[in-house]
Amino acid sequence: MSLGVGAVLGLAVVAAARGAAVTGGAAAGLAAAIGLDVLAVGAAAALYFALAGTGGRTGPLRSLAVPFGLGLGVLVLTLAVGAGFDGYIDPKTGLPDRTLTVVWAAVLGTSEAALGATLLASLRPLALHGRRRSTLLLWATFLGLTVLTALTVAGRPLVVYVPTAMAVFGAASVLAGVALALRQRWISDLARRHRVAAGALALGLSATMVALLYVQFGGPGALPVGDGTGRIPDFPYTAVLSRSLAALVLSVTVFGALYGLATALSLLFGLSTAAAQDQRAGERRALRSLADLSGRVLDRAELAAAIARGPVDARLGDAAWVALTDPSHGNIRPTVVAASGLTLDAATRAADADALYRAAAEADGALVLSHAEADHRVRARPGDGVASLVTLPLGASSIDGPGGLTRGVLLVARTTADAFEPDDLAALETFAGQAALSLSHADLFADALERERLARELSLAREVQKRLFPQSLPEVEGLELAAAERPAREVGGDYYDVVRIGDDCVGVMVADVSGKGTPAAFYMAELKGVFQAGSRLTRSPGELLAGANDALAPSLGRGVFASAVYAVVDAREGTLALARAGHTPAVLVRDRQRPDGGRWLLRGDGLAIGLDRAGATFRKTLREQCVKLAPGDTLLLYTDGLTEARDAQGQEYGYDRLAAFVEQHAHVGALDLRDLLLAEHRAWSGSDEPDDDTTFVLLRWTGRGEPVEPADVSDGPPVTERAAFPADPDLPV
Amino acid sequence: MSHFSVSFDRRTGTPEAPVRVLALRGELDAHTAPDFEAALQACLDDGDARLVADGSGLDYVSSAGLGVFMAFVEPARDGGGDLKIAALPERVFEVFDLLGFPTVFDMHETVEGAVTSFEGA
Repeated sequence: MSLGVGAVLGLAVVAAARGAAVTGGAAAGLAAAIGLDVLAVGAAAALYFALAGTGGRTGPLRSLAVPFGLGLGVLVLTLAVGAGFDGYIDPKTGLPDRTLTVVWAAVLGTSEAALGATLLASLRPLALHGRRRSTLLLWATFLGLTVLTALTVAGRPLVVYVPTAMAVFGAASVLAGVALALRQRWISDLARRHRVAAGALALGLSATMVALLYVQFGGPGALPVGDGTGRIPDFPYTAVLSRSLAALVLSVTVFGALYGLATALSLLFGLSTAAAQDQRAGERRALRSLADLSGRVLDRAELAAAIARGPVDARLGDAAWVALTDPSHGNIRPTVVAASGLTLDAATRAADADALYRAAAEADGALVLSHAEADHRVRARPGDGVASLVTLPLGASSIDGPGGLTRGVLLVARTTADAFEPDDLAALETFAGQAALSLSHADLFADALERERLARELSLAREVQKRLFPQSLPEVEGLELAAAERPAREVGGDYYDVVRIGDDCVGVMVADVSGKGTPAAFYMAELKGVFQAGSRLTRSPGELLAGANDALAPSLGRGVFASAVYAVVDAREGTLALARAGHTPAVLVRDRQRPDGGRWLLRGDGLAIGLDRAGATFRKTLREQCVKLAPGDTLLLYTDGLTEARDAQGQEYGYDRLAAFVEQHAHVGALDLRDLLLAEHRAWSGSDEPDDDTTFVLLRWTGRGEPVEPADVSDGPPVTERAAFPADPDLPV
Repeated sequence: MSHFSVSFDRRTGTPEAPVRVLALRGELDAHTAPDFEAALQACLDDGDARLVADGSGLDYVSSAGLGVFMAFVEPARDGGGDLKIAALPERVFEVFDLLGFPTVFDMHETVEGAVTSFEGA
């Protein structure tokens, strides 16, 4: 406000000096004259800055209406003064005829200065719509040239012709004004119902300005020189106050006329919509290029680069960058992965992408910072080219899962403050939506690739795993052996192995490592090593399992365990020793024709491997079971895939059904029983693809045709306590 | 349809020695185990190491689910508490029993029993 007061005071000083010159009868000296003109121009400029500063954002209609109204007022005032007052300029002295002429000149000059300042301040938001750097530059150029034009006549007496320099600067100023007048992008933002009003106001403004020019230069509102018939033409009253101020107002009035005319024509012929369509075409190009990309390029990095290029190519921003999260690699904070219009480093430094990402997620939409440099999340300094910033979430939070977090953000910056208009934002939001879709496709594609890679890896692991299973089963007189394994996936966690111990014994292990896939296969390989080595070191199943727990527990991952059952059968002695580490109970069946016939589930105590990593509890808990076999006895070791198979009604196969099946068919021999059991398993689950790994080993002791003495198993290992079969109370008979 | 939920809104025991009860519901398998893991981790992060898993609502538990118990019992004990398992339905208990969990874990028939057993500690 003080700027405005200063301006008026400045003009008052100039008016007083002019009045004094008239009273004194002599014009001021050249230096004083120049000073007064500069003061007048400065006052007008101050008035403009005062008005432009208070303006804020007004509607386009108001921008046109205010100078139009004020122009009409000044026009009426000028006409009134011209009609009711008959002052003139003395052609010899170049001074007004009397002091009252100076008073009227001061009144009209001040009104004109106010009109010019108001006009510029009002049209400024329209001319600068979108705040392109080039437009700002053009505006500054126009103002500069206008002032320069005005200053070329500073200090010149009224009756001396204008210098050539003024014509040059004046022409340049008008050209800049024309260029500005052609910038009518704001019209595309104008609601349709306001277009007629805007056209009328623009036409009115233009007409008023033209009328003002006519009236002041030779028209009824002009101040004549001499008696009004001289060779020197009449000129505006304002020139008496200051010739420079008059020149300034002249330029501005011409600009107002041009701008109003251009606006009216734009509205009439849809020039602005053509310009807007150019803009739309750019947006469409950007979107189409993205759509093309999302069809072909499914690489996240390439896509991110295309997304960053889009807004810059479409001239929706001066710089853009993309910050993405990467949850599959444990990156939940977005990092800048692509930038356009500035380097990746500069983009990373320009703003706190993480904070903006979270703010945009919270806002559930675009986050616009009109004065980005003032925002604490923006680290760019003035001059770094981040004066306005839009943060657009890539993907709607509602479809992208919990927490409302999206894949990342697209940040678009402009080098000028307050630069994003509603149509820019709408276009950017459309673009970001499309970009998010493309990214989501790329991620899906990457997932598919990853799955394919995993599948290849798994099939390789499967090859390795196949070699871990015994390639052939040992042949021992008096024993029939058969084994089957059906992994649910390419690589399962089931394992079995059979090893010959001496001439007459075999050791059989069936194990199940928790989890599946490649890690399970690794543990399995380890288990095989332990088993192969341990079976040669001890004939005690309990000791072998305790050793396996000692060896494996430290290397098993957190929460990973393995259940195992290990049986040693002596074909000569007809004995079975068995220990269970948390595994499914073994099935033993004996011919019902025998007095001691029946079927049993051997379920001695024992913890799963890995459950007790120290090992002491494992050893304390483990119970070994020893059985004196009868010829025809059949033992089944298996994993829970067999008993947990579900039928169509969801019913589990279960231990009882399994034991009964084995008992019913045991007489056919181990190999045929294996095939029957596989068929039974398929029939129960109704599918060739088991839900879970299914592995089992069948062992049938046929005996060696001679009576056998009960085995001596008293010499047991210290880690186990033996219970003699069938005295074990846990066994159902 | 695999469904699972963990809710740990119940906090009993004394204010100085609170016991947190995690009610498990549905099927605890490889898909749902991470939820349970996150819930347990949240308790430990809160400084609550006296934990009771109320299994009365469990329909099924897979090896991945069992692995979660194994992975968290030691941190709970290191933190001066324990991870107790209570009120498992018979069929689910059978799975724990087969693997020998009752030897390593403090298992209770009722949640109240599990909570009370902390008081002596």
